[in-house]
Amino acid sequence: MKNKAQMSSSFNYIFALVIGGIVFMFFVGFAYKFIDFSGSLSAAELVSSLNDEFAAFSASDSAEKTLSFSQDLSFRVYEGKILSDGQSKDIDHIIFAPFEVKGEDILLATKSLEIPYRIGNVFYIADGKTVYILVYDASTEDVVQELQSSYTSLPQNFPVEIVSTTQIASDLNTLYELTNSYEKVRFVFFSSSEVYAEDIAALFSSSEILEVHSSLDDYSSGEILYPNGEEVIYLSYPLLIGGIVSGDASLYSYNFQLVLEKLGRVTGVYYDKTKFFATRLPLCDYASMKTALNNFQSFDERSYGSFLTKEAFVEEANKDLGGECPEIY
Amino acid sequence: METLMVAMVFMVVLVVALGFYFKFSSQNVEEAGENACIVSNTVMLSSIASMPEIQCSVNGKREQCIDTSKLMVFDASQEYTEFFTSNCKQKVYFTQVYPEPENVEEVCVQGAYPDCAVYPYFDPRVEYISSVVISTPVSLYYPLTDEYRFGRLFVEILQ
Repeated sequence: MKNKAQMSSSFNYIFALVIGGIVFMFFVGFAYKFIDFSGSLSAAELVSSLNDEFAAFSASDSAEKTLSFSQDLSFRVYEGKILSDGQSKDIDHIIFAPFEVKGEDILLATKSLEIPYRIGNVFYIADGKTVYILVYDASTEDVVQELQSSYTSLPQNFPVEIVSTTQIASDLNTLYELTNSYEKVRFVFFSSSEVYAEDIAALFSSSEILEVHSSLDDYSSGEILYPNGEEVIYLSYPLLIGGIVSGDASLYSYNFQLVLEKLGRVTGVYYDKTKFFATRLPLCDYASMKTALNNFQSFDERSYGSFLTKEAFVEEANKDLGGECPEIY
Repeated sequence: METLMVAMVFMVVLVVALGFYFKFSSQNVEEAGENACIVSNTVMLSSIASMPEIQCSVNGKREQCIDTSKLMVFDASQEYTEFFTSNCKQKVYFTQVYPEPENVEEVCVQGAYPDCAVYPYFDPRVEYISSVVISTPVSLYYPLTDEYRFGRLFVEILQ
């Protein structure tokens, strides 16, 4: 009898352990699923709210906004996706952003892109933890001042300072104190940075240097040299700003390709519109416009000079129209 | 035996309770999704009208109207599938309201343009049970005759 009672008691313990284990595993599995689901939901909410902001923004030629969230966010914008907490959501906009955006306040901005006709809006995201210092010399002072405060300027809600190469050479400590509260300092030289690079690296622990080069006096198109030695081209001020804001050359290049795709699509619409007009208005000469638009769809993507030449032909052909023969754009 | 029965009853109650919880949660998520869809499409009304593929422009600068000749040559159903169907499926079209067209249902194609009424813009070509229609007034521009007409942009959210 005693033996049987002992066995029954042992059986109860084992049984309680097994059932307890099953229930425990069930709850652990449930908790993991719930965490996964919550992450997915908050990533979807983040993307949805950003998407709505972008959609509302796209009706504007230029707009800025600061989005404040109740908690710290951390996400990446990478190749048409927003990545947050292991979740990934597609986003159908041209967005220039640093490697990672984190914090309670997200800075958004947009600009309309016209090359030469409007092809859409480009968007910028930042978290205010990086300060952009635009450095000019005697020949680029006007360009940099325009980039700080004009219609073509960097977004006003992004932290931007402008300094001359003379100030960099003589008083780097003041600049250091001024930018001390930022996590990262990005210098953008509109001249050569070679002479100053060593001093900057010695004083600023988290900094990097970009160089902008252009053969144009107004720097409206040109090249951006990134710290890793990669060089990219930009075709207007909104793309120059995109290059300044982007984490690196590859992040910029992905968006640059989207811009070219969009340019190709809009150019295709204008080309078809030209053919439609040529059919409906046989007395008008749309041949040069058709040729110019056709050529514009195939410029050398590594050379902004090639783009500018073909863009000038399109502009010229459009200007020649008017009156009884409507312009194309 | 009693312990086993108690454990069984406990598990059954637990599974039923969790079933209710999940059903309730998924209903909430579905409702939130539908609301988000309507909000997104309302925002989308303004962004559709500013798409460079169809918006008017003078010397490269945008004008607040829809260039109907661009609607004749641009097929958004081929280019914008992901843009329009990312949240939920919808049909997008423009109609001429004033002057009132002779046949208010005549679909615009290049042969009938500009004497037509409905400009289809995006159609996912899917079957649906019901739809929610939202719309906004737009100015339709006819570049061949240099005239403006009054129209509406419709977004039909398919359910």
